[in-house]
Amino acid sequence: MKALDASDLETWLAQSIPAQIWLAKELEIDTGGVETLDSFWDRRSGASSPRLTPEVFRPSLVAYRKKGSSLPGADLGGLHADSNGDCLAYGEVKTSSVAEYPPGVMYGCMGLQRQLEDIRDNDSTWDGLFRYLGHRALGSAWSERFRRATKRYLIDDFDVHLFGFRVRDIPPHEDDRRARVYLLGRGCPDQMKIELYALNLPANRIKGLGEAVLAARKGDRP
Amino acid sequence: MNLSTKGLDLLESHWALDAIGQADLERVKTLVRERLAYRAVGGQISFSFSWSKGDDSLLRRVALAFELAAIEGLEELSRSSGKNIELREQAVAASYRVFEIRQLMPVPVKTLDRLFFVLHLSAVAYCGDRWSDLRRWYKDNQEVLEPPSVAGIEWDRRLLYRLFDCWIRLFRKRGWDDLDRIREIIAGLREDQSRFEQGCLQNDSPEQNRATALRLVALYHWAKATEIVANYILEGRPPSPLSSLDKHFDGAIKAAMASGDAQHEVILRWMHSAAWMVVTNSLWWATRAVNSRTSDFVRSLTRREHRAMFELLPPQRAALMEQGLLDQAKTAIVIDLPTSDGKTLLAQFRILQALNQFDAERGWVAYVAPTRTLCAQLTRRLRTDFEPIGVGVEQLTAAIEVDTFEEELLAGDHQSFHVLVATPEKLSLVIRNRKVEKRPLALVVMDEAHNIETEGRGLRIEMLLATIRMDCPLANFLLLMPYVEGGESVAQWLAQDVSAGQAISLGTIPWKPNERIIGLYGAMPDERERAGWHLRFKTLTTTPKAMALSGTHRVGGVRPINVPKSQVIAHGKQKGLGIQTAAMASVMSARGTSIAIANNIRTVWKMATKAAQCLPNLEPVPSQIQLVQNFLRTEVGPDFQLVENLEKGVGVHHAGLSDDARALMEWLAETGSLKVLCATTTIAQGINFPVSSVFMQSHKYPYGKEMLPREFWNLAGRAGRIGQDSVGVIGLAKGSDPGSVTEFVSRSTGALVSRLVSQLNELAAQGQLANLSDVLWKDQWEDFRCYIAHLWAEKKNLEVVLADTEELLRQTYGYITLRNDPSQQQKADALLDATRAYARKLAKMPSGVAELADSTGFSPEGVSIAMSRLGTLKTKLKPSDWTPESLFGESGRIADLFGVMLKVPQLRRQLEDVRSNGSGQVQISDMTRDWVNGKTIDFLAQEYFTDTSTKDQTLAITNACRAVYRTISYSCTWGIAVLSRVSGVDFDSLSVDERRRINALPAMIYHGVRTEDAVLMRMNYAPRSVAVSLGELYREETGAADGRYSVVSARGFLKSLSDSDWHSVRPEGSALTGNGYKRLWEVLSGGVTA
Repeated sequence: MKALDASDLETWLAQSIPAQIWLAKELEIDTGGVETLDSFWDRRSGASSPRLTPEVFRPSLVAYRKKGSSLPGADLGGLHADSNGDCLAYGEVKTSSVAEYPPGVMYGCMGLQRQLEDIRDNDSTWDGLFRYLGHRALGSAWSERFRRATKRYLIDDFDVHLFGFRVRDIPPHEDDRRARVYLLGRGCPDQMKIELYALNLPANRIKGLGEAVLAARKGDRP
Repeated sequence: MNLSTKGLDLLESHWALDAIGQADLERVKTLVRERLAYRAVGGQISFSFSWSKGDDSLLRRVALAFELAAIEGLEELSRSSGKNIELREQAVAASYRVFEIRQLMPVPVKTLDRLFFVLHLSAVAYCGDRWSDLRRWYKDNQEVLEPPSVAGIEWDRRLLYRLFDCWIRLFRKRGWDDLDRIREIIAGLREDQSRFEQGCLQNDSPEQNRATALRLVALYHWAKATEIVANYILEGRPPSPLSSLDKHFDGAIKAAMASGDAQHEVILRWMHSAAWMVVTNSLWWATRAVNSRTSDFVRSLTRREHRAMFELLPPQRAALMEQGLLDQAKTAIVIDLPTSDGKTLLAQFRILQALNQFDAERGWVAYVAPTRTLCAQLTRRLRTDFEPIGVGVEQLTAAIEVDTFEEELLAGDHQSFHVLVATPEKLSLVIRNRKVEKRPLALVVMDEAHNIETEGRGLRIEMLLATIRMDCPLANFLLLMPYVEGGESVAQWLAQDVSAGQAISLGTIPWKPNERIIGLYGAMPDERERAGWHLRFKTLTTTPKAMALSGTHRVGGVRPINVPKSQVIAHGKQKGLGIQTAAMASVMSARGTSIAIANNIRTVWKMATKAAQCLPNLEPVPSQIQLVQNFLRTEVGPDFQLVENLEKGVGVHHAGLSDDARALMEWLAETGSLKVLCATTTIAQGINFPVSSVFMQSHKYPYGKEMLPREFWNLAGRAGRIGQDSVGVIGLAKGSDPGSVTEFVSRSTGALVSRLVSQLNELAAQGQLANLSDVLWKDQWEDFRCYIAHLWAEKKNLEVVLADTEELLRQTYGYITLRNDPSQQQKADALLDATRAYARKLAKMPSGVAELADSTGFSPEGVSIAMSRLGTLKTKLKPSDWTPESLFGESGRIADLFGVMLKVPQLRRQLEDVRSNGSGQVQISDMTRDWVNGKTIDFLAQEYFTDTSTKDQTLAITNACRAVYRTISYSCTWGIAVLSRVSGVDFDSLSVDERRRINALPAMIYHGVRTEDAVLMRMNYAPRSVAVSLGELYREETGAADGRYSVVSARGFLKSLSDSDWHSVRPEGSALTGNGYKRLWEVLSGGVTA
């Protein structure tokens, strides 16, 4: 768990991939084309590479995926730098404004934990994302990083990083800590790292945050 | 873009593969081989492989590594060549490897996962040059190809399912109708769009609508690209579809990216490259710059109902598009390609090009094949393919004489034939006697041309090619042969110009029609049953031509053939190798037709009987087999053993069967109706159809002579059917000396060596080179003597011949080879001296001998003997003796003629061979008379070959067949034809009709019928049992019409017959119905191929 105060929030948003994913949804960005999105995220995600790709919008497309979209099975696919260098990273994001502890978005068939378990245990998901990144890495600025991550993955396909990200705008509660995330660790292979983030915003700040951020960027501070 | 060795080498050092590590990569290679073998033959062979838990993950990761290498070059595959060739080669090679592994992986069960898996695998297969393997995978995995139902399905999903259906059709190319359905499906989608699209965009959120809209855009682009590919494959239109394809796939990929649909985007990238490969692999693409005749041919290939063709195999594409097969500047091309089917198509393209090139001059093409069964098979194939485009194909009989009907055919106008199929001996007669006048020989296609190095006919073939070079200066050459290294020297010899000779070596390209397992088998005691035994198969790793699999594995169960152990092992030693071979073939027949080969006919029958005893009855017996059984009952005899064997799906193929029967055995094998085909080693010369497995009791011919490695691999290479078997299995009985068998398999095939050179080398080794003139009379030099006689007959002047000898010899491959090698000058000089000496000898022979030798194919010595012996007959032969009634009547002179023939060296050996089975010369002549007069094989067997002590009817029939189909139809036909020429009868004083009747006599012997009309029917493959009655019907219909004695007219007549016509001519008691006869005729004449 990571706790951030309001002053650190902006920095954190600029650096955290999961945070960006969530923000993308909230901003309800109008995509005239992928390029616009890419350029947006180019600005916003300096610490992450590859740049956020269209599937980062999957939180907004969950319903569609349920109908059987051909997305490769995770909200996020990218690279992550750890102490051993670059590795592949996959992630899931959930948001909730409902005051229940632990939150519903954590459990159930579409819950964060279940989805992280799916990613953790499903090598076809890893491979699907890996292939996709393989296509996208060609000619990109992060192709060398992808290469390094690939080598680790091909030697040991458990050598990947999983992110889980849960955003709430209700006061923190100790039951959140009771979330049985340890179950994820129980079935986790040695080489695989799972990192979970919980972001608690001030009450009722999720809704409309996107507009607020966009407005702030334009200089129309409320 | 073809799979290349360079591309595969490049992969070895790819960074992604480096990450895996050498040891793991080696492990994967082994795993792939083992799993492929297990999948293909695991039901029959209990492999002793050891697999561990982490193997699946390793395979998956290595497949990903290869895929990454493929992805790096994927875009290059959808661009015109000339860009980054290395990346293209890497992409093809990597895709090849990806398919190798992923084909072994289980197909996901969930619908979408399944669809994407299949599409991805298919695209990978096309990008990796493995469409034939993909087709086999489709065959084995039919259930996963089913498109899901679209009932009640949302519009975007409906589109995807329909597109899946279309691409399965595009990839499998089952036939015109199957592909044409794609156009209907796409048209249907256009109609559906107005009904379903709007509903698909009525989602709650704008993001979802936007994503859906983009997804639909991607799918629409994909659908349009699909339609473009389908139109091109079907019609060859538009001529340049690639830029349109790019436009639509680029649009589709961009839309998929925008919709955030990663999986869709990935599959579209693969489909884009695969679409390029589908187009550039197609027949239309390969022949787009060629003449209209070729376009017509391609159109007819795509539209035919049976085995429609749409695309080329990688070696065919390489030959056509990269190695100059259709380059008119190349006058001699040698193709080294193991698969026979692939070669024939290449030959067809070259034939059409040659006919086009020589259209104004009315050029013709000679297609030469070593055996008459192969000639018949080729004729059927060429006729089926060429008839629809107006290219006439005719076959000359294998008889070494040009009969009266053939004379007429050859002398006819250019419409009578464009392509002539013949044996080397027959073509030699046609060329030397200039039977085709005023029409240039445009091209000679020589199938199985590696026979140029064989002991029996090598010299004859080389001399034929030399004669063509000399007498037909415009002729181009196309030599087809398997496993020949360094074909350039042969091509340059024939081209007479270094730059005009082209060797297309496709035997060494990494692409393979399928994998092969080769090993030695033997029997092992098995204590689980009393006197029990089982088969063990030791896979060999000593040849690069087969998969490197280690271990010794059990095959089948205890006593796979129900004989006691003592019949296969005695005192620890292997025995009963025929039984072991039959057992292997029977066990392995569960996965497709197996061939069991022995080196003698007796063992072949034994193998067939044993195999039939252990196999279950066919339930029901396929109609094809029933047809052949009825044919055998009628033409051979109702109790013929083969009829019973066929009940179990066991056939035989050897010289003790008629041509028709052998052709029907091949047809049954080709159609998959046979489980086991037992054959002699001679099938190596004739087999032109693939099977699932090949097992050999011995790699030696009768009398212990080893097969040449090239001959062995030509035979072994038939194991594994393109598009059907992932693995072909080849086994040899280990016998008592497994080491020597292993060493034999390991031998390389090497370069082609002229038989002329081999014979000189043998002489030199014996220190006899200086005495060449003294040994030139021996049998092995007979063809060389005939060659000199031809020169003599042409020049008729000793001084001129002596002056031209060097030039004459320079036409031969052997002499050129020797002259080009400074260390071989002595041999070349010896040959030159001996040739001149023989020319002087010819000059001293009686007038006309050399000319008669040249026109008949007899050696000058043979002609001299025949003339002298005829002169000693007590009663001179008169014209009236040369009529069918007289010659084949009770008091005819045929016995006298056989007396003469037995003195001629070229005929004596075979005639005496028959005599050793019968009892004296009178019986050969009687038998010939009976044969011409319509007696059945059954009758001849009982009359002349039944051993009263054993009463072995099968052996008697075999001997009768050998006597008829080898000796009578070969030696007797030739002998009678020559004797009629040298008999002293003044043919010029006879009427045209009388001359024609005499000229038809040898053909009557050859075909076993007594009338000219029946000969015409037999020449067109009518079964012998109805040939005479059909001939009568033909005579009734045609009366005295002009052109009645035409092979082509007779074929037209046969084509027009209805079931009831056939019924009206069938002999009483025949097992065949009218419809059966008609169908049989269609099969034998090429009207039906499966």
